[in-house]
Amino acid sequence: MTIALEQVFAEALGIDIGGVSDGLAYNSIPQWDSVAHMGLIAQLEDHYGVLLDTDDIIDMSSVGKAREILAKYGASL
Amino acid sequence: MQMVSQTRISPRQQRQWFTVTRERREQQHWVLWCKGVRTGYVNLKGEYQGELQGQAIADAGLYLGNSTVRHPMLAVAAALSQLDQGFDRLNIGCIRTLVRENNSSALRLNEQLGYRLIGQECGFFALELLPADYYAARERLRRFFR
Repeated sequence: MTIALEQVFAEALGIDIGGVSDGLAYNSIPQWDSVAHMGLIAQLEDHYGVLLDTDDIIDMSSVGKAREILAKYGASL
Repeated sequence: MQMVSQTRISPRQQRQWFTVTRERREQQHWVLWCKGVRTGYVNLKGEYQGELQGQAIADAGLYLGNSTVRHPMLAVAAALSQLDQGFDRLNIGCIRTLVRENNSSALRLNEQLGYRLIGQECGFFALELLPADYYAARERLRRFFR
């Protein structure tokens, strides 16, 4: 079963899925801080079966950017 | 991360601070660079005058500015670098820090780094980190730097 990227973000950040859009960025909401980012990365890797490079972990600063990076790994979004 | 003092610092005060600070052997200060941009600052300050190396207790400070290169893992990388210096190279016995009570992000990060709460006063939490707790935490955090 493919889980929508928005759902993974909502669960990892503990926010309503309605608040997740491609424009949602790191530090734009209190829930998305450094610790939440590490949890988010772990959940994305689990859900999509990928192992992200450090540069991609660092660059994943918005939902839109995450979509772009995960597509590079062949993830089914 | 937020400075303990929030008052404005004049250029003259900053130069005076720099002159005095570079003579103090019980303190070490580092500028954080990311992709060629100065993006923050960390320090370690021993509780006694004399060499910082081997001191039983040191206070830690970590500050990030709003630079163009700031990223979600910058605070983690900065803290790991600071604590590696403190425990691995300087052999400090215990590192303490103060965090504003309303700075939930810093509190959450420090908890992940292995810090434990030892007190609360004047709007700040006092936290303490022992080497064994840090090394256990470091193993979990290092997986994000491959």
